[in-house]
Amino acid sequence: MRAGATRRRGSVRRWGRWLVGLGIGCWVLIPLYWTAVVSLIQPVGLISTPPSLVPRPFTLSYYRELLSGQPGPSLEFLTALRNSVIEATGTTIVTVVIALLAAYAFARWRFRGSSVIFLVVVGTLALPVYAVLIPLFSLMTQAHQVDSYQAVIVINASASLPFATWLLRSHIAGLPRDIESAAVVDGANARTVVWKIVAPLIAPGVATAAVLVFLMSWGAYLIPLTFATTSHAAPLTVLIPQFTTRYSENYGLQAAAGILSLVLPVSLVLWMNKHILNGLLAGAGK
Amino acid sequence: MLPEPVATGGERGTTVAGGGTADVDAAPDRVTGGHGAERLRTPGSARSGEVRGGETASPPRVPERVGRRRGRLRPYVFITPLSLLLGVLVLYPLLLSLIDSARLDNLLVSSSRFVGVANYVAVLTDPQFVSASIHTLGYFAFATVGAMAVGGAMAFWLHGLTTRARAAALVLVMVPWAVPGTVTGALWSFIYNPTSGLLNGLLVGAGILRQPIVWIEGTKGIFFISIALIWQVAPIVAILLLAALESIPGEIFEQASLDGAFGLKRFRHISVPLLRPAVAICLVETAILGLGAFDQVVVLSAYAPATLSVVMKIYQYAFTDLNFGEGISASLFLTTGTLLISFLYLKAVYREVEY
Repeated sequence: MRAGATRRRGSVRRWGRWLVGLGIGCWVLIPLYWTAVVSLIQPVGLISTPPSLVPRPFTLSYYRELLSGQPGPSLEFLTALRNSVIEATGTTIVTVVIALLAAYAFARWRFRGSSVIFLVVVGTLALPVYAVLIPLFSLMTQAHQVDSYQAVIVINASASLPFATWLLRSHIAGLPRDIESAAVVDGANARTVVWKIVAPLIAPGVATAAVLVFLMSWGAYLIPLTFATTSHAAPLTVLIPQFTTRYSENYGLQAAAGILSLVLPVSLVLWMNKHILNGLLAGAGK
Repeated sequence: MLPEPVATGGERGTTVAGGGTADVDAAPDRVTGGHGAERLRTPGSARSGEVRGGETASPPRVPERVGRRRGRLRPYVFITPLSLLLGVLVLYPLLLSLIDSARLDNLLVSSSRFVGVANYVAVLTDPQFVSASIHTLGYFAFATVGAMAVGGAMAFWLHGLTTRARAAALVLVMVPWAVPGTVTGALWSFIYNPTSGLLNGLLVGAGILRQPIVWIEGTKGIFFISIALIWQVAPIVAILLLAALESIPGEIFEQASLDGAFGLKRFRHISVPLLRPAVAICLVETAILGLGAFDQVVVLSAYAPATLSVVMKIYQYAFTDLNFGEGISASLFLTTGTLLISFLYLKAVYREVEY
């Protein structure tokens, strides 16, 4: 009797789990799937009621148009794609290098002001981008730096540095000091220790920081909108809203541009997901 | 969207990391009186108390004096790039904004003169700013409730899966988090589109609606835009809550089922209290996203006044009206409000947990 009730409860629970899973799957995938359909369907397929849930009549013309390199939407798109890659990569390199140096100092040395400075660094985590946007714009205008890669890169970096420094610091702090000390005995200086010994040992942490910073700057909108004002330096996030107004009736083109701009970050998550999670949990000191 | 989500991982970590690493750090520094910069610790002094006596044995002592001076400066050399970037690009502009809010006028009128609190007053009495604030509270409320519900459901679902299934499911759950905010807006625009959108297509096709509806319009637009916000932020909530769930020792749940606590009872009396710290961080995260709603709203509403958020209004003050003073004042209001709500959340919900 009791056993029967437990078994029944178990099977109800299993069904419930399947149902919840189905709901979550739909919730996550429907916007992505539908956008993919819109990008692959001929316009005539979109106006039928009920809508065609598969891309039929099928077409690849929007992707072909976007990737053709012709002046017009294609050139705009490819330029923005190039800008996104340059800015996200640049931000990642700048951030990880600077954060690793600082993280090592905070993790291994106690110096005058170290805890106060670290507290300020972590405190800026709480500061949203818009808090300093306008004065920063004045500063960058005076420095004639608006509308350039370096402006977007350093400002993206300043937004992601507190987090990266914090993350790498906790990775380094969790590392036994024996190996570093041995290297110092062998005459290595601190810089060599950081790059040749500490960085490889916390490679998962560095990878986590790099992936997260890359995703952060790939998705950044307010910063490039303000500091990359023309197509010269504007990344995909800035182009997408322009596409929706400029080609407002061309849904296929908008959808194809949207799909192409999320391919890279989403594949990064699919590829590095273990790293991201393990790194975050290890960084959290478990 | 991304700056916030990513920061989450960090913040959650902070709460856990503090305990884990501090004791390891503190010991050696105390031993040598805080001159940590001098040289790297010897293995003995760094790792354990029992070898502490022998700590002076190993470090190389040849360039003692030079080494010490250089050693004292070395930490500052290492943190100089970080300090420069944060100082010039974050702290100095923050200071500047406090000054400029009282000094800058509309650039079209005159560039700079002392205006006192006039900018703050102008912003607070601007009906557009007031309505943008109300909309933003709407985004905040919907995003909070929705993200906690969806993210919580995801976390409990993941927690109940086998290890192998969980790895795959986790990737699925994480995907929206990787999608840029403006692209998220674009994805949902194809669902809400009045003429060719999926939602109207399905509802009209099924005979539920007779006429297609314009979803992103008027006050109800705030609700439908919030759904896109929830889609984006739920993964973070799910991951944070899952990590917290995993860290609850299994014996607690076993004991609970022996005591006859299942389902809702178990959820209320065991999961909820033990999840408090993680819930607090999730609430802060969704508050930051909801109050800072921008990317998704821009794409979905194209600055329509009925759904305008405060960040959009700030952007308009500064870059459409060229009124930097009012823009800065408005952003100081929003920043203060966000920090205040985050603080209240942490104070009210955050509790240290002991198992």
